[in-house]
Amino acid sequence: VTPVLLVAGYLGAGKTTLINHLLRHAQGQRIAVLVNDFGSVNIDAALIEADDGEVLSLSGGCLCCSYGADLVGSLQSVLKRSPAPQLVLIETSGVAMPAAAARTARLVPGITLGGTVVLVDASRALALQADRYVGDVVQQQWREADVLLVNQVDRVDESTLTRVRASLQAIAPHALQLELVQARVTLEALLALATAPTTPQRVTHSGNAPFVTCSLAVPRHITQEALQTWLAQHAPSLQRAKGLWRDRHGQGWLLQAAGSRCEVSAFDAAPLAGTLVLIGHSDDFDAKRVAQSFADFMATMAQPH
Amino acid sequence: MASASHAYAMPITIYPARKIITMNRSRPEATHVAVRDGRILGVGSLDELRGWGTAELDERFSDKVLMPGLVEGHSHLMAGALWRYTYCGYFDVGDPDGRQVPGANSLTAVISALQSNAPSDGPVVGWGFDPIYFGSQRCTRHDLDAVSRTRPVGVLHASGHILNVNSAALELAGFLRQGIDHPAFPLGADGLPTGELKGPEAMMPVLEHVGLSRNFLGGDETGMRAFAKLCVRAGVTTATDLAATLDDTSVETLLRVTAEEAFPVRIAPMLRLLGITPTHAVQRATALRERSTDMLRLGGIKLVADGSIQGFSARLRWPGYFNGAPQGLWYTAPEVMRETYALALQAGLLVHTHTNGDEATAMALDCFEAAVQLHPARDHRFTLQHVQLADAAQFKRMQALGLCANLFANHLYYWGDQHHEVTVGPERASRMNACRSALDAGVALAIHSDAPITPLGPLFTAWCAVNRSSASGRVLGAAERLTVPEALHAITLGAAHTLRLDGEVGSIACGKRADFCVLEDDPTAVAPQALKDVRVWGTVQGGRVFAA
Repeated sequence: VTPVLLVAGYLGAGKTTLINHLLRHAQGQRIAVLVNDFGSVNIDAALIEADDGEVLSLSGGCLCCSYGADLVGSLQSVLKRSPAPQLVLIETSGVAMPAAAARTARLVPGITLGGTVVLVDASRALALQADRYVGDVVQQQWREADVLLVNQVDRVDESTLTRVRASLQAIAPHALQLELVQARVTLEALLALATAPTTPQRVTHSGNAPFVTCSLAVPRHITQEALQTWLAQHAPSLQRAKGLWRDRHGQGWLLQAAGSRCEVSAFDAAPLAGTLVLIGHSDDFDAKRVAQSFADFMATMAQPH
Repeated sequence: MASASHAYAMPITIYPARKIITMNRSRPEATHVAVRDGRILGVGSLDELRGWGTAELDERFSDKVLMPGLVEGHSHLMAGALWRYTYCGYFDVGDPDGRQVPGANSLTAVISALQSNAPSDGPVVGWGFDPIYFGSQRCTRHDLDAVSRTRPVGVLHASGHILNVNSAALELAGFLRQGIDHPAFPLGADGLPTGELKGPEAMMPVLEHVGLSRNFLGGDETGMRAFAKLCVRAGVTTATDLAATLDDTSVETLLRVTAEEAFPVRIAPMLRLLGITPTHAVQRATALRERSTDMLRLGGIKLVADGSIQGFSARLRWPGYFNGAPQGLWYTAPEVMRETYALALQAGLLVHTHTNGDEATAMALDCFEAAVQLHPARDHRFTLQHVQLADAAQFKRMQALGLCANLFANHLYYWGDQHHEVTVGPERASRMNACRSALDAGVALAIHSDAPITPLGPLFTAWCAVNRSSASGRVLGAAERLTVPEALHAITLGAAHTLRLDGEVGSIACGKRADFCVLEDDPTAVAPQALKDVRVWGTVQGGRVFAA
């Protein structure tokens, strides 16, 4: 079973930068990259070993090809290659809806969809979200993300960044936000973020979801042990949880939980503004009650021992 | 001079005709046209033409009516390629060999047509299927299993966006299984796909299993020849292939076939911007332009902004679809449109853009305005294609920006009732393909069939623009009707203008190509309601005579 990761986001959000970055740091993993638009991927010339017009063969066993209108066929033929790729990255077009691409990728047997990573250019996010032509498309892309990679955060001031965060939070409360410069994130981190320990049912966009999400800001004084203790109380009603935060020493943490399993690991790329996203079924998960419980817990944590 | 004496040596042929409708202001009507070296030497009376010297009088058209060769500004070569498969449409149509093929008025009739035309082995393929005329009954794999249980069977819908297949085809493609969860694969009560594949994501993996290769859409030699026959039957001497991939092999084929002495139609393919960047598209189109011949006009670029109205994938302005369907899709991002326009304007290339919904038209207008302000161009002929929901204000902007409109008049007939009842509602349906508003705003106007989506036939298209009647006989916006002369202009000089060919074709005048549409009846003399019934004898193309 080959893991597949969808890389989506509006034109210019940094999808290609991310893919180039991942290819440059593939560290021996054979990655197959499927792109919608061949010409837009400026693969480092040094990486290219052969180009037969259809497939770019890259060093380390990686390859890149375009899928045009036939994602299923291209994915099938990439999986049949020898040696088989260990990971497939699908870069969707800038106006594509990630959930639709994910459903199409799932038509191919022999893959497991790791998740959907949607890139956001922090410097254009607010304008794009209000754009008269593509605003609805951009917002829908965000809604369909498992992970929002907020890119180019070094190009905006703090107040803009705050507004971008709030906007993403309001539009895509279930998605984890990760803030980056030049799409610099390791493949390992990305896979960990986008892939749950088990495969929970996907939370799709509003309207048809029996799911409830609760998104919490994690302050820096909390320890990972304490957070796990609090989370354990709510485990029975949780479908899935993900968290990213930094502790008082600046150490970053990634928390992932599904059902009763919970894993916490050190995670250098964690943003300064920590978040914890909880997802449960509406019948036994009360987001308001959980948020209140978290606030009460924070209050006890803040008291001197 | 050698060339002059050579030219003098070329024989002159003078064709008398019952009537010649020239689209040429200095001689609007005439009785004779003189042809030399594939071009028009003059049009007028026999006495006037005698001045050119010794000529042979060819009287074969003396009881016919001649018009300029018709120009189809939006068609696809695939319209010819499809004829190797079984026609499954609702309406009667003429095939490339002139046989009248009856429409299928029920699913049973479709199945029996597929059965009786099935080749002895291999896949069974049909096209032009339009089950909206069969009520609420959906076609399923079980229906097509009646054609064959063992061989793959595929039937392409008229819209081109849906494919129905049988169980064997689903099995071959690996989709006859439980657990498929995709909106393009409706499931039956048994949890298995019904065989209706609603969209390219679902169609593409199955197409090759029903014998439709990915590249059969263009550059196919057999298809080109069938397309050419359709053109002759429709009086067309210049036609577009408006979404071509134009790889090296298909360009070679196009060059070779169009150069044949017996090939009767000038083809203008446009490179589809799909899977390539604007920079690559402009480089490719610039290189292709250098390879153009008289019979193959390369160098254009086609952009697609949104989807289709009847497929609910077109981008509509507020308040959206009449039946409440969600907003459609962008196929090309505004940034890409802007960049392509800017690069093409700099390179002097022609760009035609598909915009079905009025929001797509607004987006294209904004993008083009931004590009043309950066790279001013006086006579670019950039054209918006379909533009089905544009209103008067948008046509005014088009005129101000020098954009041409090629409106999809045939839609009024084939999908007019659906537009009235379901997609956009009565009011907007009455201003769909608003030819009159376009002309009143001063926009250069063409009208089209988008063959094979609807049958190639500019006189039928003109009839649609003149009558605005739906298939059920409902008139959609009499206020937007064209007069017959205006409609005839749109299918000749109008379409030629959008291709930058109006100096060479589109009217019968000295110096232009000897391209004629040869008619049995006079389209300006029949009742406007009978325009579609005007009989086409054939064509003259570059001075060569082609009987239908």
